[in-house]
Amino acid sequence: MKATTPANIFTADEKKKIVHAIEMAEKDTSGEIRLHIESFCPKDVLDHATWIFTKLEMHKTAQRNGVLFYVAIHDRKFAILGDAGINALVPADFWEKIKSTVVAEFAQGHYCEGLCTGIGMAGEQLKAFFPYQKDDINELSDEISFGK
Amino acid sequence: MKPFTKIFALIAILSITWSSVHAQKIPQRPNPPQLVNDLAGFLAPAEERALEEKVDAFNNRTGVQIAVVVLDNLDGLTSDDMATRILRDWGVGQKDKNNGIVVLLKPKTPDSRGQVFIATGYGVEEFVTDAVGKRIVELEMIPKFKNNDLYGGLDAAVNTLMSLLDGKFTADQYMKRKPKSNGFGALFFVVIFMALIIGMFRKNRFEQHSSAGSSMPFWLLMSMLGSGGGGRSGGFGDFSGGSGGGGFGGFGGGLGGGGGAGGSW
Repeated sequence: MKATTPANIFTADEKKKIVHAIEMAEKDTSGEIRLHIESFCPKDVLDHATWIFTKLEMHKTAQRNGVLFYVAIHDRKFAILGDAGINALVPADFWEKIKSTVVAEFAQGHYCEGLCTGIGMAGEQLKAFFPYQKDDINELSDEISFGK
Repeated sequence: MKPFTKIFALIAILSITWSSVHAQKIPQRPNPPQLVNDLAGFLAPAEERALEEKVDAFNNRTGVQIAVVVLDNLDGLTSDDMATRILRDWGVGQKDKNNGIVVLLKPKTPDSRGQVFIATGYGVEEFVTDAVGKRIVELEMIPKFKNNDLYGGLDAAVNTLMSLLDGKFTADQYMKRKPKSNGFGALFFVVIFMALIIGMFRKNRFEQHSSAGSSMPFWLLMSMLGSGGGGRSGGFGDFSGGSGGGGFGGFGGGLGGGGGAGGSW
């Protein structure tokens, strides 16, 4: 079996689906969602995701409401990170819940579904806490960010 | 909540005579009706609510009722017997469709083994076969229960049940899925699983309950532990809004910083 890599994990259609999920999740909210996928996670997944978060400059949103989905395919690690603005508002078990949902799908090989579901869950909270503002701009790219 | 209440009320009338026979053993049907019943207070209220919302929404969408029951005592019954009786006596599911599921958990206590069983109505058996129910118990629930994560185990089981019922994957596909395989571990798993199957079929096939007290340390490996985060990553101060000094502090629901959860699969 061919190894799964960031380059081949999704078909073109699935990529579209995910980007669409991000667009939908960001609709009606000023919150921002990004997805970063790479093969290896060299250290603790949360620490590393945090580094990626800053590297993608996701902390530079006006309301500090960026959410990062991080996946290390080869190392089978997943993390979800929310910036201070959103973390202060969501229920305490919010991240954990999304994580379990996504990881459960991943365990079954459902990468696309897992991410789309997780992104949808995050979007719901963003909508609830950061309603769309008239002058809202899409502060961060919706494209999937691929690492090595 | 409305449709569920209505259905439940109907069933209540229809099955009330039968249930009175076993009233001393089976916990009372909840009133007002609710799908998640932690009758022993093992779950936090927020956890109970989260589960309830999930299964309630699923019921409203599909009509399939997944009841989660946590007891501290099986009153001498086996977990499968108890779960099946609850399924029947409470009338979980729609009467004409028999499409209810009961996820029963009797957590491990210092002096008793943990027990868990998933009982399915005939109407959903094509989606959730007995073998699948057992597999869910072993793969998704017991590892988490071993980490004292009762909610996580119940939640994972409910998620898998809903995916099966939604047709996201079939019972066969689910049975073929392997846990995170790493050579020896996988082999070990297969051996144990086959032993279980053989053991199972030699007995009555309905005795497929699994107990959280059985020793299967391998599954601990598969459990998904959220890593706790820590204050060690450089440059974190940036992330948490210049609160200074890279104080991580945010993960796990802390206020002030970012938050998140990580794990492996």
